[in-house]
Amino acid sequence: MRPMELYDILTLENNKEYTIANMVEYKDSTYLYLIEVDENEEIIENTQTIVRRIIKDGEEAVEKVTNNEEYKEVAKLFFDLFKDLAIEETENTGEQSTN
Amino acid sequence: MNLRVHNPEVAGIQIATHEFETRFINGERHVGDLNDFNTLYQELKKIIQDYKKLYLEAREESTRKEYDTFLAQEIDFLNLMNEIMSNLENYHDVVGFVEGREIKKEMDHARTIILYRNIERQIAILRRMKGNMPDSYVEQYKSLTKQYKKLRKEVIEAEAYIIEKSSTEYNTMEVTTSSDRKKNYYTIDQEFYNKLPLITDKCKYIELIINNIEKVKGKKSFVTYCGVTKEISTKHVWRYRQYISLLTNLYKKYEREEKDLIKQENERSNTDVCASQYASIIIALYKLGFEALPLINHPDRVMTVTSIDGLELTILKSRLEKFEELISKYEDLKKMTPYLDENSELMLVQNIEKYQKLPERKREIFNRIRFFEHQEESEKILEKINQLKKELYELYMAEKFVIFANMKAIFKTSGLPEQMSVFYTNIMGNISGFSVSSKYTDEEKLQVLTDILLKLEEFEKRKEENKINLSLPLIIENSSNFLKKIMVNVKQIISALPGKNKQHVKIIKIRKGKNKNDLLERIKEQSGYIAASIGMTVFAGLSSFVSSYEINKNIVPKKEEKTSFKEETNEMDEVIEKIYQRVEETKESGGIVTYDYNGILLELDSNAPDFKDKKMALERNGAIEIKQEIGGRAA
Repeated sequence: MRPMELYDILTLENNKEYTIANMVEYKDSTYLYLIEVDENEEIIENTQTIVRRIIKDGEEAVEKVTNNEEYKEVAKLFFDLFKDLAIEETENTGEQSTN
Repeated sequence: MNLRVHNPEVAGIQIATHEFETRFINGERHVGDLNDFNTLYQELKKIIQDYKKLYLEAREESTRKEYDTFLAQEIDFLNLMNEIMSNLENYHDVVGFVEGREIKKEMDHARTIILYRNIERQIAILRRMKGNMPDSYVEQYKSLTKQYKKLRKEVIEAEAYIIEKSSTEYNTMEVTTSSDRKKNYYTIDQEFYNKLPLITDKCKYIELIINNIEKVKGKKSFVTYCGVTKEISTKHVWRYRQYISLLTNLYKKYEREEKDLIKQENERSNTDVCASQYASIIIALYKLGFEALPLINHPDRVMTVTSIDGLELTILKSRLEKFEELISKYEDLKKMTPYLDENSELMLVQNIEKYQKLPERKREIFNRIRFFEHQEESEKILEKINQLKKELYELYMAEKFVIFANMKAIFKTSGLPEQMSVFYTNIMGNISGFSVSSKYTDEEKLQVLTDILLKLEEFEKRKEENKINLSLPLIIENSSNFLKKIMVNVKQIISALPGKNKQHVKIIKIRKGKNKNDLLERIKEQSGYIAASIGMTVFAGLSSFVSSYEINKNIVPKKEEKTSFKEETNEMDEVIEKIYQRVEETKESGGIVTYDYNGILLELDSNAPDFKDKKMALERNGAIEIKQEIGGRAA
């Protein structure tokens, strides 16, 4: 399997497809912020989740973060990433509209 | 329609509602096309169900008061929506199809007639302006007249078809008349009418008069109705025909029951019958095109109706008392409208004048508005116009109430299935030209209609209170969007809660996206929302931040208007900061109770206002309280 990159499309066991909206490293683990996409790769905004990338029985898998503290820590990192992205997007939109 | 929708389900609902609004409401669609409405309804129903489920789950998990309060209001709205939609679903079934009858054809004809009558009405309103007609209305007037003429031939055919169909519904009775044939002049002698001993006689008498009117179709005819003479033109005959149909049905009903009535005369009051008959006449008159309905508590105890020509008719004086007496028995009617006086026996409206001479008052205000609209624009003029519009709205509401109160009264008092059916058919005919299926009992049909009216009335009230301006399809659209948004949040909140969904999922395939840049753009667009969602679920939990964010989001829905994102994120940071502070404070406060929930330690502040709710929620889900040593905290 090819290494993961941002905005790659993952097909999970449930046959649903997700895009990697963001990725962070925390305490030797990789965490992904997944958003479901449809067959046209349009994002389905109401299916979003934070998962940990793991190897299970020698195969690539993801698992939900169930530990509250861990979830909070990771979510905070994602929060900062998305916040920066949002500010960047707003500034770009602002520049475009002033131009 | 909001085109910036990323969720295909929402978009689907939006498109369906939009089509429903533009095509069906405007009369471009027919009953056969209503299937797509049903689809729309099913979708919305599913959303509502999902939402309710999620709401309940979320409430199980945490019950912050602000969250509860916020959602309680939405649930209230949701329930209203749900009921309206359920009623409309039934309505759809009821007006569906009747085997063995060419319903579609009848409906098309009925629609043409209704369209024609509406145009006729609009022309009548414009004509009343005479020389004062503003230029902007001249074109409209011309166009309406043209359309009116064009439809004429079609309407004659349609009317003939419907009369032919409806005439098979009852037997034509042998009639004799005392009218003056030379003048085509027919009179209802009120004194004679009142003396008639039985309802059936009264019905028959009116029917005789009207049947004779029909016989002179094409000529000018006059009817004197309780002292007022009215000219009947050919075009009114069809309406009178409806009246006959109604009365004939009544007649048939009473004829069957006549013997019983005589037998039971001493044992049982015939008030019910009187009220039913009275109610039928109200409806029949309405069908005939009279705008105002009876003023139940008119000081002279007289029923007055006003025709679109401004003529007032006063009828059935002797029956009012019994009708009122009967209606006063139904206490629950009082609850149905705020216009009724709480202390009264019922149907006694607080302000009699409010419900008098509505058409004239409406016309007068309407003309005054037009007058001011053609003045030079100034603040004072605008203020005046607004004031008049408010008055006009009040009158419309008053008129609606009169109609509504009467419908409710009929519903409550009729009690006779056939009577109900007549009522239903008449109202349905007036509303949208739908025929009535025999699939449901008359009571069910009437219940459906009454419920719809009630709910719409209720929503109308709310609309006014909240100063919102939404048509029904827009309400559907907005509510579905709103629900979708809320659902995203609630789902995330639930998925973020510890102890849920512990499973891992295998990755079957990793591939590059077809268009990485597109995805990046989409995610960028959503990033503010995602950040906010994380903030809500992780840092604020199920806190008031949910509501404050959702409210802010509703206030600033368009991206181009959203120039203050930095401020929003600052606000978000502030909220998070406050929450951290609160956590720290509670740690210091010593009022901490610790729970073991599936191996995860959760701390609750026993001084928090929602402590009891949370405690209960945790215990219900199997969490165990860890007892602490005095002065210390659980490990």
